[in-house]
Parts: sequence; C-alpha cells; structure tokens
Amino acid sequence: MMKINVAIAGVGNLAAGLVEALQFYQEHDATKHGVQYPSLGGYLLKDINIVAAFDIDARKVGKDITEAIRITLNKREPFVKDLKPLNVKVLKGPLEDGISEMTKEFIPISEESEVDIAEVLDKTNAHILIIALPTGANKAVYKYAEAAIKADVAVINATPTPLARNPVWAKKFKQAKIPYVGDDLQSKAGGTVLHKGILDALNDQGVRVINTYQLDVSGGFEGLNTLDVERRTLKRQVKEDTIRRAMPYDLNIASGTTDYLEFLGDRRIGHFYIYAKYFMDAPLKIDMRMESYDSPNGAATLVDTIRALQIARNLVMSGPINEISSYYFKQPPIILNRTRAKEQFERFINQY
Amino acid sequence: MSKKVKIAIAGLGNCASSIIQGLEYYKDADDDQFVPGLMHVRFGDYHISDVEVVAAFEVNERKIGKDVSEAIWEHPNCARKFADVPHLGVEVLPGPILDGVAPHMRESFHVYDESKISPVNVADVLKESGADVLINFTPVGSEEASRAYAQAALEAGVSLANGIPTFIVSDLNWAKKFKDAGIPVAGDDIKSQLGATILHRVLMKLALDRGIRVTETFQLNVGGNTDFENMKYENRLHTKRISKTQAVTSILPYEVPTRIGPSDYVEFLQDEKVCYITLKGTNFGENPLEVQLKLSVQDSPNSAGVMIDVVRGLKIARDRGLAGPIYTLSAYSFKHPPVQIPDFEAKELLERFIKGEDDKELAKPYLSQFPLE
Repeated sequence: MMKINVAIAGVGNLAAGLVEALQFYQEHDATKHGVQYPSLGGYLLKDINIVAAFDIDARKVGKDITEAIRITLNKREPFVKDLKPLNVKVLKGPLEDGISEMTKEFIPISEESEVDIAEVLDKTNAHILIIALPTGANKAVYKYAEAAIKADVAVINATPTPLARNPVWAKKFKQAKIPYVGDDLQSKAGGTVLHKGILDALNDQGVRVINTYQLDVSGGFEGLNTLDVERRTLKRQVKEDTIRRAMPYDLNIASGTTDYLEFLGDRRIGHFYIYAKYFMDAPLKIDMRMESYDSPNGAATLVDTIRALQIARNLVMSGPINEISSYYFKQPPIILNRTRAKEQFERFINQY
Repeated sequence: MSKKVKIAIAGLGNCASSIIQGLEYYKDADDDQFVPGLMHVRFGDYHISDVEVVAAFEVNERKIGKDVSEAIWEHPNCARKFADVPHLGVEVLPGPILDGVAPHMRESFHVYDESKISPVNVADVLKESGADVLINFTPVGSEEASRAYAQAALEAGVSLANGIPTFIVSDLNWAKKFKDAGIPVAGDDIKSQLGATILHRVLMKLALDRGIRVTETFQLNVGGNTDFENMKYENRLHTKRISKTQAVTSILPYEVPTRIGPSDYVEFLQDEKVCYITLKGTNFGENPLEVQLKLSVQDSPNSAGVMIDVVRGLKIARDRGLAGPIYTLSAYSFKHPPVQIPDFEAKELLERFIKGEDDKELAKPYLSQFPLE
C-alpha cells in the first residue's frame, strides 16, 4: 500500500496527538488499543507519513516536530515515552491573524523568514495538508488553502473557519480537481458527541429535555482564546445550534468552553447537566463529569479523516467530500444525525 | 436607644428582594426559633422584625418611583418569590449611575435617562430617613458608584455594610475615614450562608488539617442572574476574582495552582447558581486523592440572612459607640474582610461580640493583618 504523505499547519495539540499516535501504533496493536477503524480501505495507521510541518512559534520553528510538540504538551505525561525523531523540521509559516489578543503575550513569534507553503508541499510530495490553526485565524487558513490548491494537495480543515461550507472555496477546489473536508474537526469521544448521544437516548424514550448544559474547562490555547467573550459567544452559538438542530423540539441549551485553567494543560474537564420531564411530568436530572485529553481525542478522528480523504483522492473525487465531513466535523456543509452520518461514511469506504 | 434597625439599600436587585421578603416571612418568628440563615432571630437586642427599610436607591427606571414592595418584582429581578410583601411606603429613588452599569448591561438594567432624571443627593436622603445602615448592593465592578455611596454614608453618619467586592472596609484609607468619623462599618463582599466560598474554604482546611498536600484546585461558578451577566467581562470582575481567590488560598501556607471565579452566564438558570469544586492532592506516599463536588443553590436568598445579621451587628456597634471596621462581624460575614479569621472561630468570636465583649480585643490575634489599630 502506498504511504499517505501529510503536512500539518499548526504544531499544537492536534499535531502532538498525531505524532504520538503514529509512533504508538507502531508498537501497539490497533485492534486492541482504541482505534475505531484499524483499516480504512486497506490503509493502516502506519501508512500515514508526516512530511512537513508549519508554525510561527519561535520555540517550535527549526526543531524536529517530535521535539516541538513537547512545548505544546509541557504539562502532560507523554503517551509515548521516547519519541524517535521524524526528521521533519518545523518551518515558519505565515502569521496573518493566527494570534489573538489573548494569546499574543504567551507566544513568541519566530523571526525566521516565512517559507513558500506551496513549494514545500510540492517538494515534500505531500498528498494532504491538515490545517490545525487556532480558532479565528481566518486569513491564515485561507492562505494555507490557497497554497494547497496551487500545489495540488487535498485539505483537512480542522478549524471552524468556513472552508468546506463556503461555496466560493468549494468551487475553487472543484475546479482544481482537489478533494477536501471540514470544517471544525470533532473529537472522537469529546463532550459534544457524548452530550448529543445522551440527549438522543432520552429523546428516543420520549423524555422531554427542558434545560441542559455542557460546560468545559481546558488548559489549551483554545481555552485561553475563549476568555475573549466575543469569540466565546460565537463559538457557543455554533455548538448550541448543532445540538438544537438535532432535537425535534426547542429547549434551553448552553454548551461550550467556559474557562481557561492553565494548569490543566492538555486535559479537559466537562460538566454536564440535564433537566428533563418524563411520564406524568415527573422530573429527571442527570449530572455528569468527563475528564479527557484533547490531543488523543482529536488525533483519533484525524487518522480516520486522513485515510478517508486519501481514498477520495484515489477515487479522483473533487470539492467538498460530504461523506467524510458530515461524520467527522462539527460544521460540515451538510449536517446529518450521527447514525446516518456513520452509515453514509461506511458506505463510502466500503465501495472503495 | 432606638429599637429599630433602619436600613437603606443601594441597588434593589435579587439580594435586596430576598432580604425584604425575608423580613416579612420571619416577622413573627419566636426568639428561640431556628431560622435557616440567621445566627439568631433576636440578634443582641434586635428581633428580625425590628429591621425596617427606610430608603432605596436604583438606576432602573422600572423600579424608580415605585414602592419598594413593588419594585423588587421588576425585571431583571428573578429571585424566587417566597413571601408576599405589603406596601412599605418607601419610594425607590434615583441613585447615581457612575460606573455601576457596564456598557453591556445598559439594556438589562433599564437605566434611567440622565437628561430626564437626575439622581438624588444620597447623603441628604440618608439623613432625612434616619437610616442606621446603608447596604451597598451595586453590581460587581462598581468602583466609583460604591465610593460615592460610601462617601454619602460618611457625610450622613450612617454605617456601611458593603455587600460587593469593591474594597472599602478592607481598604486602610477608607477604614480610617470611617473610624475618624466615629462610624462602624462591615465588609467587603457578602458571604453566603452556604456558598462556594465557605464550602471551598472548609474543604481546603480539612485537607490542611489532615495532612493532604493540595496540588491543584478550582471552583467554577455559573448562574443566570444579572450578577453573572454583569461579570461576563473580565475587566468587570477583577476585584471579585481577588476576593474569591484569596478567601480560599489564604487557608494554605503554600502556593497551589488555583482558578476561582464566576465562570459563565447561563441565562436559563436564572437565580439558580451552580458551583463545581475540584481539589486534587496527594496523601501518604505521594498517592493521589481527588475530591469533586457540585453545589446548586438559589443565589440571592443565600446571602440574605447573613446581611440581616450584619445590619443588626452594625446597629449594636452603633449603640456601643464603636467606630471603624467591626472585625469579627466582617470576618464572619464577608469574603474580603480587613482581617481573615478561620470560619468556626469567627463565629464563636462574633457570638461573644453580640454578648457584649469588645470587638478589637476579640480580634486582637489577627489585627496585624490590618495595620489600622
């Protein structure tokens, strides 16, 4: 089987999870260690090959990616103790609007000169570019997308910036005959999935949910970004909308990252609450708490997305690939409920 | 000696509503009856029914001009109704706006039009009304507005009970002003009967006393009243964070990664407040230990009983001719007092103060925290 060459823009939590995962599954059997699809269309995790990485952080640029991710994960124990160097040096990418008011004092900007992204993608023979920049870095996202089109490279947009669901970009990718997916990568077993799952279950049993919230705290820079009330409110509305659309009636929902706790590092803690009424209007309350790590949770989805997108490339598909986006992203062009999205995804894979 | 405790209230929000309802709800309580939230039905010489509202100040045009008994039900108040309040014959007056209303709160608070209504002279009103105590319940972050009310209290010779985390009673300069003027005061930032702060403090004290090394702790609070809406913006809650954080971290003799504060505004919760506390630590052999708890409570009644005790405590202080911060009363009843005293001891000292012992003598071991005396 041919290798899948991936480049990644933004060496943060998601990149860290990916780098660690690829090494972890060289030593562990994927079928026994939490991989949903050990093989996708014949592609295994070991077929994924990181060939290039971009960032703007002075502490990361110039280092091997296996070292650079340690800066991101300074607070947590590595899942892989001794990472072997990948000989992939982090290159200086474009800054644009990649830094917010809240994060700027924490991130030293590299003074290296910016590389030509398209040229690097071309030279490294990348097949897929993963865009994993901070929320709100719209200009930077578009710059990377532009370069990918120029270099004939497929794109995974892990950020909430409208790319897959933006008709202008859909047309561009289609014309260039390049497949791409997005937007806003969903964690494999994250808060949103769990929250929706439980609401679904209650719904199925005829329970009527009145109020519900899911409030997360995290220590990643995404959490820091949410201290900016405007950005937080926007993100929140998006999340609440996706949940509300999956429910057949209106209810009170609050959902999103609520606070930044620096010392949590890669950890995320979610508090869930559901107040519902069931038979004879009897009240029903659910309290839950979930503690998880961001980077493995994102990477688990990413390894599926990479392989599925490679399949789309092999099938010479172009433009937004809804079979992948509807299943793995929070803001895909077409929103489906989870069961239908999963069916559609598996049908797509099985036809290959 | 007047047998009444006359109170004026700046900010007729949910907290004021709960106090006013409580005064009605418990007016016929027996002296030795147990009332949740009050130290005593008869606090020193004063029965709960001796507390009487004589003046109220607001910036909300829906409340101004109405009787206090009606104004407490106006939007955006959302405190649960647990008592009918009869006509009190006290008209709500326009108070100074200053920085009491954050830009994002102008709509929610229905702020009066300054070109049509001008604020009253608070000091004059306080004097005319014969108020003993002015309660400051302006929104968190009201630095100028709080000081304007404090200044008016100073001029009128009225005691200040500072319910919010603007540092006045715990500020040396202001404490001195009140002391020099011969006026007793208590503050800052009212504690709840059983709220996040006291719960977190007790947990930390327990960990300390049992030899647990605390390695990280946090307290998240969410609610849906205007207190939480007001505190959405970080610049509004600077002192609130300090007040809440110090109240907890002051328990431990070493530093621990800590995050405490109002975390979010969840509108549909209304006056319900939800708090999550996590404490992580290690015990013998550096083995891990973790405590998680959730507290869910009606927010504004939670501090109402405490405030009703505070105003009576201040009245006692006035009767005894005391001046400046009342240390035991402040330590027991507020999050950011001039001197912090461990909770259980603070209660005992306050009981002794009520019985007639000298406040400064009782607080003596702690007074080095606050070099006023």
